[in-house]
Amino acid sequence: MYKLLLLMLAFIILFFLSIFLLDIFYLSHRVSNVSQEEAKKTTLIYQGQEQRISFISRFDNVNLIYVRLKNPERKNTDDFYFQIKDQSNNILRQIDISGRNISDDDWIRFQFLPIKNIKDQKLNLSLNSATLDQNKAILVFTDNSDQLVYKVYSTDSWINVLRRELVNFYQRFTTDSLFVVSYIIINISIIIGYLILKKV
Amino acid sequence: MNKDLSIIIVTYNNSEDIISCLKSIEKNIIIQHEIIIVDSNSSDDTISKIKSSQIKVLLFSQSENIGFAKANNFAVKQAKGKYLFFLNPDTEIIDRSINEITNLIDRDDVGIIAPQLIMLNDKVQPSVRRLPTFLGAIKEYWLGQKNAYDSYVPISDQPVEVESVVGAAILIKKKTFLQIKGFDEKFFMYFEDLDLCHKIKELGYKILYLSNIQVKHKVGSSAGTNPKSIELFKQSAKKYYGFFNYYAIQNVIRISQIADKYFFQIIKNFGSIFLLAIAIRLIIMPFLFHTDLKTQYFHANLLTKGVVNVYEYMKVNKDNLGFKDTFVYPTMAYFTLGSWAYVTQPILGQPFQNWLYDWGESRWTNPQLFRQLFVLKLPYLFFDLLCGVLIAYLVEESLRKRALVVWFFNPLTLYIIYGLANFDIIPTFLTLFSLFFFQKNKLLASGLSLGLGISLKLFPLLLLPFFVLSLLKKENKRGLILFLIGVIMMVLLTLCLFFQDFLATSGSGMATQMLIPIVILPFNLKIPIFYLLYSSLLLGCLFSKNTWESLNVYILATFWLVLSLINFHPQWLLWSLPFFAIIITKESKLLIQGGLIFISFIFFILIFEDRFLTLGILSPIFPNIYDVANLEQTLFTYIPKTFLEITARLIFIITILTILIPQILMHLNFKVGDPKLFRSKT
Repeated sequence: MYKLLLLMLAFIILFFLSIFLLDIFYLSHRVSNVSQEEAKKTTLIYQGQEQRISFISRFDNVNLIYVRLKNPERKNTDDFYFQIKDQSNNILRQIDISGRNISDDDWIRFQFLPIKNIKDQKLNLSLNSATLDQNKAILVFTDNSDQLVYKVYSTDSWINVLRRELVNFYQRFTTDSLFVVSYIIINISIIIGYLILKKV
Repeated sequence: MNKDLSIIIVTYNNSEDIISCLKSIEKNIIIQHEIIIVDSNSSDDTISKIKSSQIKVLLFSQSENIGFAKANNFAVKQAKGKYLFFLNPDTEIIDRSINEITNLIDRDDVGIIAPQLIMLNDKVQPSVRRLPTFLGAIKEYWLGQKNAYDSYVPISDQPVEVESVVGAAILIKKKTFLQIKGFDEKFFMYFEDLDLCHKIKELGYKILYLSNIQVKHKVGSSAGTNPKSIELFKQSAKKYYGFFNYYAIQNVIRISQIADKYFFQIIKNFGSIFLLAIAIRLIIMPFLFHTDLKTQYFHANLLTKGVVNVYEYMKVNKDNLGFKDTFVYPTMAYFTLGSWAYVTQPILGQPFQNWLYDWGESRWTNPQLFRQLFVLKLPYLFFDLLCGVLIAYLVEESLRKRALVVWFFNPLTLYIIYGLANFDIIPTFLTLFSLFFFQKNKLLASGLSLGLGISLKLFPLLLLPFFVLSLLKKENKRGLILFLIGVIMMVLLTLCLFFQDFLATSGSGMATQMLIPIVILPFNLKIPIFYLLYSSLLLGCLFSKNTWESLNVYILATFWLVLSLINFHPQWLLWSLPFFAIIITKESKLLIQGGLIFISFIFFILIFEDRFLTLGILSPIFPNIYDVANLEQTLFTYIPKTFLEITARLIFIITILTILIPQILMHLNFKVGDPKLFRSKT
C-alpha cells in the first residue's frame, strides 16, 4: 500500500511539475517586452505609405513581434515588408511575407533571430507594402494617437525568467496578508497533524 | 424539626422487584415515613406479593393503567408527609446514608434532591442532564460539547447543582410539588420528571445531585425496551419538545450517528491518509485556475444581487455585462453555487465582485485572487472528501485503505476537481451516494440522491434506467416506487424552477450531441450509435447479476460511452472516476489501464485547444503564460491534430474495452458459450 501511495504521489508531483517546467520553458522563450494593445482605428499601408513605431526595448534578445493587421476580404496578395531598424536606421531584421498570409483582422507573428545587446535601446519598427492600389491596402490597427498596435517579446534564460516570475508571484501572493497567514497556519496545522498521526 | 417522609412508588407488573425495594426501605430508612404504593392495574402478582410481604404500606390499586404521572399525583393526594420521596419500584436503598437526604431539602432555595443511582453492574447511572434543547443537541452531537444534551454523571463529593435529574429517586417538598401542580398528566410515562425539573427551575429553585448518597437502580426493568415503551417514549418526547422541535432534535442526533458511523470511523481509522489528501488539496487550490470557475461564479454571483431567473436575466442584460454567455446548467446548480457565493460574501467582499467583471490583464493582479480561488473551491473539497468516504464504504473493509489511496492521490481527480474546478464533483458525489444507498437498500434516499444529482446536471439521468432495471430484477416493487418517488420529487423541484428557460439556453448540450454519431443499417435505417450501444448496455444490465457491483459496472460503462462517442469533455471524465476507483481497488492489475486512461486524457486536453487546460492552468502563478504560451500550436506543427485525436480516442476506447468487457462478462447471469444456455434457448 505504501508503494502505491508513493507511486501516486510521484505521479501527482511529476504531473504538476511538468506543467510548471513547461510554463517556465515557454516564458523564457517569450518574455513580454513592450506592447501597445489599444486598437481604436485603422490606417492604410501601401507603397509610399509606410507605418512606423519606435519603442525602447526593456530586455535583450528581442525575437518576436506581433502586429495587428487587417486584409479586408483578403484582397491583397502583394508583398508585405516588416523591418526592425536601430537608432541609426540600419536594418537589423527584415521579413517579407505575402499579403495572402494576412487575414481579415489578425495578430500577425514575425519571428526572427534574437537581436542581442538591445536592452534600454530604441528600436524602430516599420511596415510597408508593395501594393500601389489603395483599395487593396493592408490596414494596421492603431490607437487614437496613431500609435500602432503591437506586442514585442524577447527570449531570456530560464533561470532569469523563473526568478522574475517567482518574485512577481510572491509580491502578488503576499498582497493579501490575511489570507496568506490563514493559509500557512491551516496547512502547517494539517501537516503537523499528519506527522503526529503517522507517528502514532 | 418534623422530618416525616412520604415514599411514593407506582407499580405496574413489578412483582420481581417490588419486595426487594420495600425490604430495602424497611431496613435502611429510619426516619419517620410512610410508604404509598399506587398499582396501575398490574396483571402479574405484584399486589399479592406486596400484601403478603407484611410490610406496612398504603396500597391503592387502580382499575386501569392511568399512567405514571397521574398515579404519582394520586399518591401525593394521599400523602401526609412534609417531603415526598418518589421511588421507582426497581430501586433499592443501599444503606442508611439515605436518611441524610432530608438534611438539605429544608433549604429555601432547594427544590429537588436526587441521590446517585447505581446500576446493576455497579456503575454509576448517568442520571443528570441539562434541560434538553435543540441547541443542546447541536452542541453535543455536532460540536462535540460534552454534557450539553445527553445524561451524564457529575464528578464531585459535594452536592452539585444540576438542571434535571432522572425521576427514579427524587425528593421534593410537598409544598413545592403542589406549587407546581405536580407531575403534568399529559405525560403518560417518560419525560414527566424532566418537565417537573423544568418547572422547578422556572420557579428559581435549585436541583441538587448528591453523589455521596446512593440508590441501586435496575435500569430498564420497570419499562423495558419493548415496542410499546418505545412508542410511549416517542409520544412523551413529542409532547415535551413540541412536534417540530422533536423531529429537529431527532435529525440532529440521526445525522450525527450516520456521520459517526460512516465518516468519523473512516477518518479515525485512516486519519493520516485524509490529512495528507487534505494538505495536498489545500496547497494546490489557490494556484490552479480555469476560466470555467470564473464564468460559473459570474452567473452564480447574480443570486447575491437578487436575480432569481438567471436565464431570463442573461437574455435581457447580456449586452450590458462583461460576460455574455448564458447559464447552461439546471437551476439547482445556479442556486447551489449562488448560495456559496452568498455565504462567502463577507470573506471575499468587493475585490471578488471586481474580479468577476474583470476580463482584462488586471484580473491576475486582483489583490484577493488566491483567496478567491481557495474559497470558491472549498465546497468541491468537501464533496471530494465525501466521495472518498463513500468509495471506502462501498468496498470490503480490508480494501478501504487502498480505495482511499486510489481516489485521493489520483492526479486526474486533483486536476479535474481543483484545476478545471467545475462543479461536476457535486452531481458525481450524488450519483455515488445514490449507489451507496442502493447498496444499503435505502431506496428512497437513493432516488433522492440521483434526483438531486439530475437537478444539478443532467448526466445522472442516463443512469436512471439502470437503477430501475436493477430494482425490477429484484422484484422489489415497493423499493422501486420509493426510488422513483425520490427521483421524481427532486426532478419536479427542478422542473418547477424556470425549466423552460433552462431548456431554451442549453440546446447545444450533451442531449443534442447524442444524436450525432449515427450508424447506417440496411434499408437506409439511421440509428445513432450512442443509443444503439446504450440500449445494448441496458440489455446487458437486464441479464446481469442483481448486485450493486453489477450496477456499478454499467454506470461506469455508460459514462465512458458518453466520453467515447459524444464528446471527451475533460471534466466529464470525473463522472466515471469514483466508479472506476471502486473497480480498480478490487483489481490492482487495472492500474495499468488507469495509466493509459491518464495518457489518453493528456492527449484529449491537448487537442481540446483550450490553453487553460494545459499551461494556462498555472496562470495564477504565471499570469503571462496565457498570453505567450501555446503548447498546442507548437505540438501541432510536429504532430497533426487529427493524428493525435485518433490516437487519443483509440487508446481510450481500447483501454476501456479491456476493462469493461471482462467486468460485464463477470457480472452476467450466465456464462457466455455455456452449452446449457444454448440448449435452453433452443
